Amino acid sequence: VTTMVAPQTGVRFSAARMQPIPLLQTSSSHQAIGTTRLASVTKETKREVGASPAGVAGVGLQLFNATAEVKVWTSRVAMHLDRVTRDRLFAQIDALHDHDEWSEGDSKIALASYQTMIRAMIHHRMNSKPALSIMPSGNVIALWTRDAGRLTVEFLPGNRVRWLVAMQSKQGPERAAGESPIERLSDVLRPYDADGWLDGC
Amino acid sequence: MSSARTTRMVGWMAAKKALPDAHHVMRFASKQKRFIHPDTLEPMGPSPAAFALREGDEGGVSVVEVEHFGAFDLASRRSAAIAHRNTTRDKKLGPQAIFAWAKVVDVVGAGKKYGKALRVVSAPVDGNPAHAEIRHFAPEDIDILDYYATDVFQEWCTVKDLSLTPHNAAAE
Repeated sequence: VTTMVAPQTGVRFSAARMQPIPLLQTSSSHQAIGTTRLASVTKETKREVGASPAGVAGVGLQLFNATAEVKVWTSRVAMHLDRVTRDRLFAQIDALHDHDEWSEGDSKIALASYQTMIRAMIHHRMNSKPALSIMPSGNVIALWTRDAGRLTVEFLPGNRVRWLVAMQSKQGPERAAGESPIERLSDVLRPYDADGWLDGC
Repeated sequence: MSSARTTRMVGWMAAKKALPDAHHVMRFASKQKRFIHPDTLEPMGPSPAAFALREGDEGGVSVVEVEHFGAFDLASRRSAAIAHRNTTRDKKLGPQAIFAWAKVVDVVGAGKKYGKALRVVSAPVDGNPAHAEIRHFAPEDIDILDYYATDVFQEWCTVKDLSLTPHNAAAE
């Protein structure tokens, strides 16, 4: 089991059994401290990986790095997300990066896809709480459900989304899908009355 | 070239035997390919990610034929899951991973809905004689992936419920 020591804090990290990383506090000064600490941990992790005999990071280290990467990036836009939302997202990511459940064909979350999701959440002021999964490409895929309907959105790199609405209208079942820039997501969902799902309405 | 790949290549060149319509095939989906609930953090059903092509899906979507091991029951599903596990590098499956199953006729029928002429064929590999592939399934859009996750492979059970925890691999 590889362990790392964060240089500033002296905290030891185990690569084999990752724990959720405490990152963000409510004040901006604490956010800056959290960012600095995580950046140090990530840098140290990369140094350890480079120095390993095989030169190849284990799954645990890769997951650790990927998780730290998205949390560090999130801290940069933390002023736009409330703490409850951040904590929920981080907990879901930790669950998706569960080392004990890792299987062949699994992928680390792709930062570019995660960034698209966060930008979409901020742009559309999403208050809702989607379920999350990860595509083999590393893209984040989110699910909203309401009654017999659901909205599925895959966040692509470059601020684009693939979306799918499956719902039961008065005239019968309907399915609609498309690909759009994140700025247009509410507009394209409106005919299906699905734009409100993003707000939790 | 590994023996598993050799088997697969030789098999690919030969005519593939289509599976009977009434048989069931199981698809493995790790915890990551299930949706994680935002409040409970419990994994839910398979997400579209479970049916996207991934590492190991060389000739199509990899599945396991349940009836290769007998009647469609828990014992056969467990045998099929073990056969799948045999093809993994570390012989371990996470306890919260699932196997979702569907009838061959439903898999093919769902393809027709999307204009795809799917075939579910036997494609044995080393360690897994029940290995099969859903051919011509090149899902490029989220719609068909979602449809398979929600309307076709509707039933599933966890690795834990199949008593296939990572720690009992050596006991099989």
